[in-house]
Amino acid sequence: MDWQVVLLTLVTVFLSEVGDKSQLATMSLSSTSVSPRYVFVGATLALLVSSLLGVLIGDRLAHTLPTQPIKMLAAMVFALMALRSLLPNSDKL
Amino acid sequence: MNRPLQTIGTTFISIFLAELGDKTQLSTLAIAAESDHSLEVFLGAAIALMLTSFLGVLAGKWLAQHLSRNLLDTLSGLCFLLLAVGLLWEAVS
Repeated sequence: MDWQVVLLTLVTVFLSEVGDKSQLATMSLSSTSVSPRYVFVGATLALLVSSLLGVLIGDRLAHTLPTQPIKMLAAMVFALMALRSLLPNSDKL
Repeated sequence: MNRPLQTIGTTFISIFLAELGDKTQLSTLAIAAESDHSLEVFLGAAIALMLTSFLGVLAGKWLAQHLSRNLLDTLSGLCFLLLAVGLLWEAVS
């Protein structure tokens, strides 16, 4: 086990994630959720899977991954959640 | 929405979509490709991401204790809107 690589990745990823959109989303979701611990479980699982994909698949697939439609889809998901939070009497997360 | 699986599912989907092709995944991928130590890179990234989402949840809980429900709904709604616009911008640019 090369702990230097572990530490290097830890610091790099930590710094690039602090204040980033997924942390912002996690914060928003947990502040309005009745069960923040499940938000933590969901967020952690999502982040683990996405970094596992990054590590496993390597750069070949990353370049062919259709990031544009995925980002559009994510934008729509967040727009929907914005509506749910902003409109009165709507279902709460 | 108080069922655990629903909360975990919603969080997972939104965070996962937002993270795919994001700078964290790309930097994880770059370090993995460069260092040839996939396991160590994944371990480092996993710890960092768990920490940042834990911090995000803690911040959300703190906000939930100090701000009113209505204000929180408005703020998180605006947050989601911001994320939606940011992701759309990334998708089209």
